[in-house]
Amino acid sequence: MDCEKVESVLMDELYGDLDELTSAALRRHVAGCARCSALLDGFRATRQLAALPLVEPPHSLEARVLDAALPRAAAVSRAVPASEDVSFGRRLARIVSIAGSWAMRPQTAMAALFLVMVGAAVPLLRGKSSRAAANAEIRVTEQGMPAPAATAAPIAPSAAAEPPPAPVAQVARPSDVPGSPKPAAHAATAEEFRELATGKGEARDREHDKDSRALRERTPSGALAENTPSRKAYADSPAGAGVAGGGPAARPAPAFAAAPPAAPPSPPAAPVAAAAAAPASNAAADDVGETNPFDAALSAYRAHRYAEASRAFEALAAGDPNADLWAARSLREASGCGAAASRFDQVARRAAGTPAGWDALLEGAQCYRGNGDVPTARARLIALLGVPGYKDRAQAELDRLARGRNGM
Amino acid sequence: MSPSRTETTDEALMSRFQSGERMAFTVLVRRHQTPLYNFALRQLRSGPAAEEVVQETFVRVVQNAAEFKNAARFSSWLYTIARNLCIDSLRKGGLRRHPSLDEPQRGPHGAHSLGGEGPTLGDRTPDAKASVERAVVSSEIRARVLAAIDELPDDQREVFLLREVSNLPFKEIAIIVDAPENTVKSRMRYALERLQATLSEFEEYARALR
Repeated sequence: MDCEKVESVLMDELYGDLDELTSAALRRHVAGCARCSALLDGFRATRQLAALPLVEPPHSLEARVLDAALPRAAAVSRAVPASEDVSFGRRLARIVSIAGSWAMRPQTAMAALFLVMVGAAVPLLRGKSSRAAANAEIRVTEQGMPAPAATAAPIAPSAAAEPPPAPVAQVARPSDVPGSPKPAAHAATAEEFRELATGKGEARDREHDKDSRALRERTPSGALAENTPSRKAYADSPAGAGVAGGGPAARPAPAFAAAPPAAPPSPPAAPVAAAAAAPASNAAADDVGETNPFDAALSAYRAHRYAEASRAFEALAAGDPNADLWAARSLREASGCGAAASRFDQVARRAAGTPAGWDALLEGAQCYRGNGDVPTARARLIALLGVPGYKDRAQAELDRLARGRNGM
Repeated sequence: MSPSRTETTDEALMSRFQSGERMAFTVLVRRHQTPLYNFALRQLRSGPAAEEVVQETFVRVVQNAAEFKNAARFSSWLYTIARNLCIDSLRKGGLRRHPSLDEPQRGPHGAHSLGGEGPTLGDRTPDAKASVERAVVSSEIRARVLAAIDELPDDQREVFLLREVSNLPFKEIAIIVDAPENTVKSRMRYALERLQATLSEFEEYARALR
């Protein structure tokens, strides 16, 4: 190799792009040529001097890039961990990412949509079939109110004073409650989270049955349907006779007729009436307490007795997805989103593939957003995008997250 | 930045992204955002402008993902987009030099330093007293280097940055800047010669580091 050849391959040698044979020939020439040796050494020194450390871009750049390039899938893609050591939340979001990537395939998307439609239709079909038989037996009331106060005075206050239970079917959209800065632990495993979004698996079927029964047992007003044994007992009691029709009693119960409404009850009569009413009222109260603990808990919630409501719903949560959901809501009101976020996850897991589970996902996401845990909130919201009836709300929440991020 | 042998190649990731795997795109962003940002930063001399270039580059990658053919290198395509965006930004003339990048700032000991940079040369020496002196010198060298790079002609500077910052081979740089490979190598040599002349007073120091 000569000096002219060295000149032609100098840059390649400098950057290690030469093949081994040519590089060896160059090194042999350089070893014996002062000019070429000085030339190569000079460039190497300059490279070393001019080597600048890379400037790290702002931490927010990656998120902004993903938000701009992939607005809807940003959270999914962002959940990919950069290293092996990742938090549970990132693993959870990664599962969503994988699920989302599979969902992007047309065949998978169609299959998932079919399953979601079937899952959503099952409770409706079951409810419809059972309701058809129940309708022949019951009269659906507009309100599950006991008899009016005038005739219901002997009734135990706990049974009479409570306002009509709120419709369970109405899912109140709670305002965001700023929780503690620290997000709660994420309870769902990878496999369970997939079931949360799609409602697949045996857990969904079991929870669907429970949820269906719970829904059938409540009229839209939230009171018990009249086909339940406890409701019948209440209707049969003297105190409950006036409410067999379900509405405010139009006629006083026979036991109360002994005491004229206008006049104060005479002492002998009052105790008798009271005594007569007491068992009935106790029965009614017992019936109400025994058969309507959900409504009692809901009443406590509406009265802002959140700790009491939380305990009451927790006692019912094991067999009732709605009570489970309301337990999480009560905890949120009592202790904030910091404690409630993981409780919503628990509900979402237990009630996978049901409206209660989907509500838990949505409200849990709102809690995580309030806690400042945007990626975790996104993961849950994205899982809801494939659920009919929740897609719009989930998207609205995602848009809210994006606006909050852009405004930061 | 080239993936290691065990990592998925850029082209494979793009192929997966084209198939709908959005996670693959995130990997690409993480792999390339830092060198891409540095390329734009040294070209535009503005952090916010560099961020915009990075963001817009990846947006265009997504927008045109369907047209990417695996016959070409992904990095060539990526930097072609980024280079064009830098050229557009410079032509608009709305950028001004960012003092924190090009001018040394006084540190707590009165030494000149550039914020946000990596470990100084002095950090590597066990001798505490000498390390302070080296830190001062290395900071000054760094400032001179930045200024020298800034003074390179545009065509030489972009080749220098693509080679030294983004670690792209000359063959790819030729595609990016749309010039023959030998022309690219020549520009690189000229750039190194200019830098060598500008930094000659520190050359001995640089030799001592080897």
